[in-house]
Amino acid sequence: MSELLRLEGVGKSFGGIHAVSNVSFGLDEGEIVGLIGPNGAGKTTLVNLITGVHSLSSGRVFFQERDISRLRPFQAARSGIARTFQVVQPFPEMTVFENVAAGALFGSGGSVANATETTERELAFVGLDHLRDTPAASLTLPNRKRLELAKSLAMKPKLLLLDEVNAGLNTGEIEGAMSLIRKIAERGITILIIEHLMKVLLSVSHRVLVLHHGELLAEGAPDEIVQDQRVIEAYLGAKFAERMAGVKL
Amino acid sequence: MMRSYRPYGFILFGVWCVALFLTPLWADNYVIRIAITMAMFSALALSWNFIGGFAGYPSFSTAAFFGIGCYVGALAQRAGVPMVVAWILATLFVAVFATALGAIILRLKGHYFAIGSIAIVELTRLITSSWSSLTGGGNGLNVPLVRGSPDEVSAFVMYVMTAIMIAAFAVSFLVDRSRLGFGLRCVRQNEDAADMVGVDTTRYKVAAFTLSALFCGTVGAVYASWVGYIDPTDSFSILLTVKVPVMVMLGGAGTLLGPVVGAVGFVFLEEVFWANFLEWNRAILGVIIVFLIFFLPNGLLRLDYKRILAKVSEKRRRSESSRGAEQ
Repeated sequence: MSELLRLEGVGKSFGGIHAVSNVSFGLDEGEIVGLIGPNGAGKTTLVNLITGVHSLSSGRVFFQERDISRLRPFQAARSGIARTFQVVQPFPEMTVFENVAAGALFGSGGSVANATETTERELAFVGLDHLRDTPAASLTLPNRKRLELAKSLAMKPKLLLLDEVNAGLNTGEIEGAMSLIRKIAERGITILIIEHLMKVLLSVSHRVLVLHHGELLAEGAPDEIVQDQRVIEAYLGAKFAERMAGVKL
Repeated sequence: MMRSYRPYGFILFGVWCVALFLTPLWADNYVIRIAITMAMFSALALSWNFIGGFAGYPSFSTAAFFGIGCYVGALAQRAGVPMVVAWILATLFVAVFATALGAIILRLKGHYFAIGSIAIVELTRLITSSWSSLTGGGNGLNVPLVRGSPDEVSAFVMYVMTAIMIAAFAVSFLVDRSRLGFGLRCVRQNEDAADMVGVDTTRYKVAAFTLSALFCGTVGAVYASWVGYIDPTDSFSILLTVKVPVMVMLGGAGTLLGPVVGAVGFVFLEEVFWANFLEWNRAILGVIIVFLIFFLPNGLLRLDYKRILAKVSEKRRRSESSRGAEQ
């Protein structure tokens, strides 16, 4: 397995506040990696740094061995990094089809005919093809999340950054979303997933990164992470660790 | 993504163009003057639609582009450049100016962009009126007159302005169908998301801003040749800069025909009020603008006429049935 993404000593400060400091890790091709940490730990900031929304204060980011530290968001998108937002970001007046087509046309390059074909395929993949002519603004929340995924997939990404795709969904809807994420991973797309629901995250990730106060606190397999004393103190809590000890992952 | 169009709008626009072209054959100078004004404002409104409608950036720079067009055209002609070449020069100059300017002020968003773009009008006006050695300052400039009898001149200007309007419409149509137009609609609806799906938002916005300036430059230069005399207050008029967006909003921002419908409607109303309420016409215009913001935020062309008709007939049926019940 070769390395797809590598962060070297990445840091970001806003004024005097160090939102992220000295974070280094790598993502291998085809991996699903979970990113956890308390609110304000810097998870979303990290995603923003990888995608070029924020400029790096220190360190470097490599994608497929290429230094992408200075890329702007649209350039990162075109090079194969797609993301979803914590709060869904559709083009509200456009139809579902047009939303996904935007990803296909601008994100993956290529002709209109190609984009149309990609759009059809991804709509079917996430199960939104029956709503293709509905304006995005009138979709339900679970469907908006699916739309975000379809839009990202239409960009033909190699790396997908999922920022709390399950926020606001109920248990049944989360089941659906997670099986979709597994299907995406089966296509060989590397996934970095931010998630607060530990059970969901631990069940899907090959590896988990823990961020705390902007620093990488721990890194390892899910079952190691839940027993890591530092992680328990910083984030999970002793009760959760006890409960998880009995659950087979 | 691929837009489909209903033919009625295009037929209507075609008929309107033919009507404009025919005015010099039958109408008197007063009517031709109004027709020229309508064509001129249609071209300006179509231009504004690129940045204000497609990209959703409320620009108030129209008068700056128009004014610079006036002056570049006038100065070039005074330097001995043939009239049509001077118009083209003015167009190119304004386009380059807008590209350079756009790269700077399009970093601003929303209200900040609006204020910044108004400041450009004031700035260009002040520079023009202060740079007396070149522009004649507050005394203005005489522009070489178009050759011909008054009737021939106004017919000629009529044709030229209509041609510019058609060109602006044609470019709007092409942009609306293109990758650029699609990208701009993405920017208008959600700029961050557009950036994230790979739209080069800065380049797209600058392109829209340049397109919004281009024809204003041509219109300005032609206007200068038409009226024969320009000065800073007339060329860089704040009123012009506000009127044009109002016209587009009246018709429907981001639609193809909205700017034309809005410009024609607005010029017509302005003329009616001007002729009948000499003292109150500005106040009445103000009331129209307030009315627009409250009741027609999306413009005439974006109204759902079918729903309104359904509602009206529903109401009528109900009032009839209640009357029937009373009897």
